[in-house]
Amino acid sequence: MRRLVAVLVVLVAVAATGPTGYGQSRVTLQVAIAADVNVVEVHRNFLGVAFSKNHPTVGFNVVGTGTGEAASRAIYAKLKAQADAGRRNWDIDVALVSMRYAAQMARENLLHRFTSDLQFAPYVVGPDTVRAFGVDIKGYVVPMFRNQIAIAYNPHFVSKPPRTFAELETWVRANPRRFGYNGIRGGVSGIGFTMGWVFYKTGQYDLFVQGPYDKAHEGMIRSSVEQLREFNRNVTVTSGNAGTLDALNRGEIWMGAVWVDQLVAWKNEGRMNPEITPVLIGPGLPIYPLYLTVPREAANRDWAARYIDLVANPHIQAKVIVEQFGWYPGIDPNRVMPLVSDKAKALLFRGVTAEDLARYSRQMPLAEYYDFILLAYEEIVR
Amino acid sequence: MSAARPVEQVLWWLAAIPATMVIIVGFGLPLVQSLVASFTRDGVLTLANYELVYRLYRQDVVYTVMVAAAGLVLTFGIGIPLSGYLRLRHSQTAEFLLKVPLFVPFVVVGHAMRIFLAPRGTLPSLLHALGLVSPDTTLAISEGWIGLPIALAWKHLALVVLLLMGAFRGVGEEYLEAARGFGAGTFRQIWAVLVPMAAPSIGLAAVLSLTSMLASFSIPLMMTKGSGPQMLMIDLYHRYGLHGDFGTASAIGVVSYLLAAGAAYYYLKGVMRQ
Amino acid sequence: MNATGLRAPNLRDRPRGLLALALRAALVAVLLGAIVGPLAGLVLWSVAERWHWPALLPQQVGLKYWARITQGDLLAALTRGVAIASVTTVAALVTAIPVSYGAARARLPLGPVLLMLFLLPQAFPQLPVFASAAVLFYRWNLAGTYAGVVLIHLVGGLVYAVWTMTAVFRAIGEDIEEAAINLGASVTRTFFRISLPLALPGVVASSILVFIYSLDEFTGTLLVGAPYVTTLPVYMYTASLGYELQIASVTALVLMVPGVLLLVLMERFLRAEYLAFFGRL
Repeated sequence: MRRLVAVLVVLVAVAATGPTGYGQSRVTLQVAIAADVNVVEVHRNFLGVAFSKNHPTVGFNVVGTGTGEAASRAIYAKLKAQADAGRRNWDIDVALVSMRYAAQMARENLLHRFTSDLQFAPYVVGPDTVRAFGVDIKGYVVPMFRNQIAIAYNPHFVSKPPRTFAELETWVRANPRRFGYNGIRGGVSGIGFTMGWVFYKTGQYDLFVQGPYDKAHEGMIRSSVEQLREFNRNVTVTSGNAGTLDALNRGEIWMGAVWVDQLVAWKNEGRMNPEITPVLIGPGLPIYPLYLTVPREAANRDWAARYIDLVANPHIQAKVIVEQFGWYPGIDPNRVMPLVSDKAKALLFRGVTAEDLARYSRQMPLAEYYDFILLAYEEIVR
Repeated sequence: MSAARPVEQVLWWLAAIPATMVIIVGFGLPLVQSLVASFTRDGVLTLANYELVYRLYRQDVVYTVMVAAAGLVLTFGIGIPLSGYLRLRHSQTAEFLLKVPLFVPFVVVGHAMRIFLAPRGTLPSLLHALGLVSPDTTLAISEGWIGLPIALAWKHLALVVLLLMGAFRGVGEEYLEAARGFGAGTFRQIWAVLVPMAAPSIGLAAVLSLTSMLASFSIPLMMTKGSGPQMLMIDLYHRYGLHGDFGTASAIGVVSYLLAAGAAYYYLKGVMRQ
Repeated sequence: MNATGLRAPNLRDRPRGLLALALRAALVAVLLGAIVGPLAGLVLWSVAERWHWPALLPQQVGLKYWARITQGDLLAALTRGVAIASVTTVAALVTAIPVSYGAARARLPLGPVLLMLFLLPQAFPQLPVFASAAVLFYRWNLAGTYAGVVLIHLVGGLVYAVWTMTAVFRAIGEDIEEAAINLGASVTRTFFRISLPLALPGVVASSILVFIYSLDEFTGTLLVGAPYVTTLPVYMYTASLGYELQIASVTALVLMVPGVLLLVLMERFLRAEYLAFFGRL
């Protein structure tokens, strides 16, 4: 009997410590990335390596928490739990999260204001560094790169891609089931398309982005979503971001709503027909940055800020973010693009030019409008 | 052996505590919390979560029941004749084959069926190659609702056949001999002798399967469709995972408890009788 | 012929007639196709380096994706899963044996009621309960930890150990224990030196059942462990979702290996009753 109890105690102790229990004597920067494997690799193989070279005494550990909003939510939940428990020295130093959860974390006082400590603070510009979903985030975030939602088309089947939502509607009626997006489940590319649709049908934009939330506008939103249901009758609804890309690649659909960065990543991996080209359509589609943040009680706040400074360095942005991976820079493009090779520039702006971005790139609406649109979709379009 | 002394009884209770704590902490507390949370929103007791479930998910309740029922019909429609035949005719190979799905985890079944039944999956391409069925028909099946019941039946058939074989083998040979004496063929032996005599076991197996299919998550998750009706557990996961809306997710959970309640009650009663 | 004049059943009854033979062959063929078909799809995808519709077979086959087992994420998820399953198995046995023994020997008051308790997690829909458990675990800082995942695996897996060991202890006659006690051995000594060794086949059976349950567990791990602690099933789900169908299929086949081994070992260690529990995986 005593033996049983002893064994049990030992087992529980072993299980409870786990790998995190074997504490490290030196400082280790803990980086949590709420994005796809390819983003995690960038930190592990490039950014983290560069950081370690500059600071050999500091350890570096990066973990990916999955894909999509659920990944960011996992980081948020962990930080919230530690905050509620009143702990100090939280176990995540740098968190790369989606716009939605960065806004939520800022609102709930889970983030540390750090950008003023950065060397490259002046380069962190843009409306999406000041407010997100109606929450003040200035000083709390640095976009690692910007993610644009676009319509990708297959030039083999689509000779003249649409330039506006109206043209898309006409095309879809003429080519049933040849356009695909993932609805509101399985990925934010479909959610972004839905938001763009609401902007288009209601003709409003500033209303939804500046706020404040006004119930009087709910009717307008609902009727635009009802029209989306009609639109969906001629559409293939895929199971997620990857589903749309996969269907595009196989030629099952000829146009689809995609993440530009995911499209580029798939092309680089050889999973995507290199002909598929992105295009932005008017009045616009949302941009959705991935933000680098520092949790409020992170154990190594200063090192975290230094790491983010490294990522914000225009040279790093130019060489790694833009040239190597073909993403839109997270900091001021005017500082980054002059450092980018012409070849990389041509690739980056193929299909979606800088002017297109300036004209058609949109912000996500206020959190309350965002949630209402999603709810209306669930109820009306299903 | 004489009854245990009071001191010893206490000691045995203490020894049972770790295991009991696991169930209380990992199951009991969460269950109670989900019940309470389903009636709570923003810290206030309310029916708002259930209202939302009705607004958004009532068609999915019907869909879930329909899919589970179809899966049940498929499983027993194939399982009873099959088990009866194997009881009377014996086939080692068939019995072995039927045990295979027992050892395939639910998630793997989901993924395998996704590949197998997808619009451009292995089954349609095989049928296409054999020229048996037109591509439109296979597309209709893949995109229709029958894929899920097929996957559920595939997995549950193994357990059902196992339970039914056990029950059928428990039926004395003399009854079957008597039936054969009256000129009953295989078919009549199954339906007139085996099934009535094994009715309690069939009932139990049906209840087990129905509960499992109503609450199925891994298989529908792997075979998920972008639009249209969803299984309730998928809605729950969406509500909790994407929106962090634990209140409404719990309300969906309570609805699923009620759906499985009748089945669960019978399950416990039936097992207790044994 | 026995006394009543009825023919005793012969387990190797031969089917009568050509029609019956054809029916049997057809049955086996259909079953083979239905059972093996979906699994064959997995195998094909695991070796398909390039495969486009409407080709029946992949255009290019190779072991490129199988090589991934030896590297990176897949290997990490595999080792993690095995480690967690091992700890879960030991914990399950350690916590279950006292309960099983007490219940089997009728020394535990309300023993049968307690046994029912362990069945409850299998009777209720798992997802809502595990989602609620995840909320609690986040609050207790158990979420995303190995301990949390082991705990959630125990919730569903304990029943296999408890019920199997209870059946085994019941089968071991009390007289041999009585004999030992009459000879002067203490209750503890009797338990560890006599009862437990005799129950070894049951211990092995329980271990196998719990180990495989833990290795294959998906829902609880997804809610409580992911994304910080992932096991093979969660890894497979992520790969499948991301349309990395080859990797997902390789992972699926790797996941099936313990089960297939069990199917083969089945005759030796498991009797049919134990299998009935296993089907609730």
